Amino acid sequence: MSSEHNEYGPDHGPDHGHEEQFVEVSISTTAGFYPADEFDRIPANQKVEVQLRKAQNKLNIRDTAGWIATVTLDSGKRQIDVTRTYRENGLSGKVEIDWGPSEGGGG
Amino acid sequence: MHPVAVKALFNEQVATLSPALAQRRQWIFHSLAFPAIDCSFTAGGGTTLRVRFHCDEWNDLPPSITLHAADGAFLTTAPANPTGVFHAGPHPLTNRPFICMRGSREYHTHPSHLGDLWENAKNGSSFTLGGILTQVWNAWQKGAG
Repeated sequence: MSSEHNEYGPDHGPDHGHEEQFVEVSISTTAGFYPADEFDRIPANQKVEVQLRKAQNKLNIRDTAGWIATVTLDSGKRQIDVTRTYRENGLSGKVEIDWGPSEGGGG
Repeated sequence: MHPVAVKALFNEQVATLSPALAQRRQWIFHSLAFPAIDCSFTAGGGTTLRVRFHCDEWNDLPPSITLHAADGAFLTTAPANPTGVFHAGPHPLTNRPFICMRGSREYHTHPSHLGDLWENAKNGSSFTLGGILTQVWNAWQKGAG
C-alpha cells in the first residue's frame, strides 16, 4: 500500500514521524540521576518542568530555587527554559539535562 | 556536631557524586575521602580548575575551598571570571585568592560578609556539598578558557 493512501494520511505511515513525537530524557543532579538508569521516553510537547518535578520528588531534593537546567550540544552548553516544552527548546532525540544551583553572587 | 556524625553526613552527600555524573560534567574526582573533596573541572580546551573542599566540621561550618591548577599547585591569582565568585583576595585568613560566594568558608569569614550567616543557608538543597560544588562549577564555566 502506498504511504500516500493509508489511514495515516499522505506520507504518514504508522511509523513515519513517530519518533519525533518523543524525546528520551535523563536528568543528572548531584543528588543522583533520574531515572536512575537509562532514559525516560517523554512526549516532545511536554514541558521540561514536569520531568524535573518527578526528579525532585524521587531524589528527595528539598528546594530548587535558583536551579538551572542545561544541555550540552555540539555548539556548547545551553540553559533551557523549563517552562517550555522539549520541542520549544529545540530538543530532540536523547536529551541529557543537567540540573543544579546556579552560582551565587560573588562579592 | 559529633565527629562521627560529621563524617557520616559527608559520606552520605558524596555518595551520589558518581562516576556517571563526573563523566557527564567532565569532572575528575581525585578524592572523595573524608574530609576532602578534590575535583578538577575540565572542558574542551579550556584551562582546568581544580578545587579542594576541606570539610572538617561539616556542616556546622561550610567547606573551606582552595583553588588549584591541574597539577595541584595553589593558584596565586584568581581565575578570570565575570561572576565575582573567584576573588583575587588575598583573603585575610588564608592570604590567597578565594571563593567569594555563600557556601564557602572564606566568604562567611571575610569581614565583608560576617553578617551573612552560614546558618541561614546550610539546610538548603543548593548548599549540600554537591550543590556548592555545582555552584562553583557553574561560575567557572562562565569564564573557562
